[in-house]
Amino acid sequence: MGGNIKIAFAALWLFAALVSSSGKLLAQPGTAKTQRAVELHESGDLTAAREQILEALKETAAANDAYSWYVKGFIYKELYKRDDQESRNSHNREISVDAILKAIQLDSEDKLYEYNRKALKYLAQTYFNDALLVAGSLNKRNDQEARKLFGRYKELLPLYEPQADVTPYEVDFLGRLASGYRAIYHNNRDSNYVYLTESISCYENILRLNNEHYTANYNIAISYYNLAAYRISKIDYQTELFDLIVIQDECLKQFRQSLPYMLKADSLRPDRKETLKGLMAIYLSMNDTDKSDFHKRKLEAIIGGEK
Amino acid sequence: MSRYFGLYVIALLLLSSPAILGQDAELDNTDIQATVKASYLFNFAKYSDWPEDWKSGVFVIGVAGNPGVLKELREKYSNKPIGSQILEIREIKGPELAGEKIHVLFVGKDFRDYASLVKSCRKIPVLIVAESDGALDAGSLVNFKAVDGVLKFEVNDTRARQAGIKIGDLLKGWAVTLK
Repeated sequence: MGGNIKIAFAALWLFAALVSSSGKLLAQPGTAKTQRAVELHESGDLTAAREQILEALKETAAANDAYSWYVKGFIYKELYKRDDQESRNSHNREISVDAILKAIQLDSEDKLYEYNRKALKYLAQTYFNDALLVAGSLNKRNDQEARKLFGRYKELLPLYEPQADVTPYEVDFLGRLASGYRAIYHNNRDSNYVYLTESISCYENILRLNNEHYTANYNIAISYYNLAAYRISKIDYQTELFDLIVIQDECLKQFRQSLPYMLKADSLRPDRKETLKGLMAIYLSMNDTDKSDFHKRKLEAIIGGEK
Repeated sequence: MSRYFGLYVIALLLLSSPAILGQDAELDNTDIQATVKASYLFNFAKYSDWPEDWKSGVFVIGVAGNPGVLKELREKYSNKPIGSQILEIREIKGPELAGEKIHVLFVGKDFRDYASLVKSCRKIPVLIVAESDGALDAGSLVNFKAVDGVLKFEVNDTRARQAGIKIGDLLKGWAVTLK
């Protein structure tokens, strides 16, 4: 939750920063052709500026000059903003990133450090935003795209913010991805089972990053519980006695898988009604009525206290 | 500018939408106990045999004191065949059967008139199924029993025979206790 708020404020800050300061290219001495590219950019002719900087970089002096690579990166960044805003596979963005990285590599005295850092930060944030957008509208064909976009963000973050902790961003991304996979599973629970396992796997990855993550614990518990409950819900007049016993045995394993996650979730937020309902249901499904009743009484006490 | 607007929208969504904050999955509301018990009751009916004069007309499963099981039976099992008979599900509310022809009678553990209901079934072939400890000694012929987390059942075959009901070998084979 805290991570999401941090991310939200970071995005708001980025919005404000971009609106107020976008498009300003650092002017400083460079090769003649690089200077010409800068002038073309200043005049608003981005296409000509691009041709000019590509021409400039054919010369050895520019090819070894950090500033010329920075200019290339900046121009391609502006091209990305102008032409490819809706494209998640923008070549302009990739070229811009590569050029900025080259500029960082050549900038041995860190003279351009702040400018390169700022440009890279902007580009990295667009990868992160795109990753969130794709994960938020996940389907069977775009999950790898979401992972790739986030992977690019994760790769770039330490290059412009070496001390940054990617964990809250990764937790947020994985949570979205997990919700997306779960939604695909729910579209057809019989044929889309693999997406539930993907969803659980995302939540498990969140727990590797933060074992105290309530939602991940709760959602893994619910996933296992619901898997068993769905299987049981399909029992009908065609279910033979033998099958009934086998189904119960198999579902019991899933209820048992569910339990430790729900107990952990309960320990993290002891008074949350949803968790208590979950524990009630899990214990009842395991035919442990004493423990189910215990959590029922806790739930009733909380509800009673609210009135 | 639309890219910036997109960022702004994302930020607002992150701050406001529970869906984006990692939405809780919803607990499946299947009544698991009722589903399993209803299936058992149907199988008890299928794999038991009643006297000839109970094999005509509808086959009735009565349910007392367990609305979940009643609902599940009505939704999934009504009008299904038991041998040559059609299954009817009936709710039993009173403390006795009062002449009703019931083949299988499931009495929930919270049903307060258990004793009088069982008493009213004496000398008629009603397969009384209960879900309480010791119910087999208190008149029921079958009793649900949880064993290592799995719901199973115990059978009083001696009393069943006395009542004129032949419990099938399949059921007896799966019973955790057979008297």
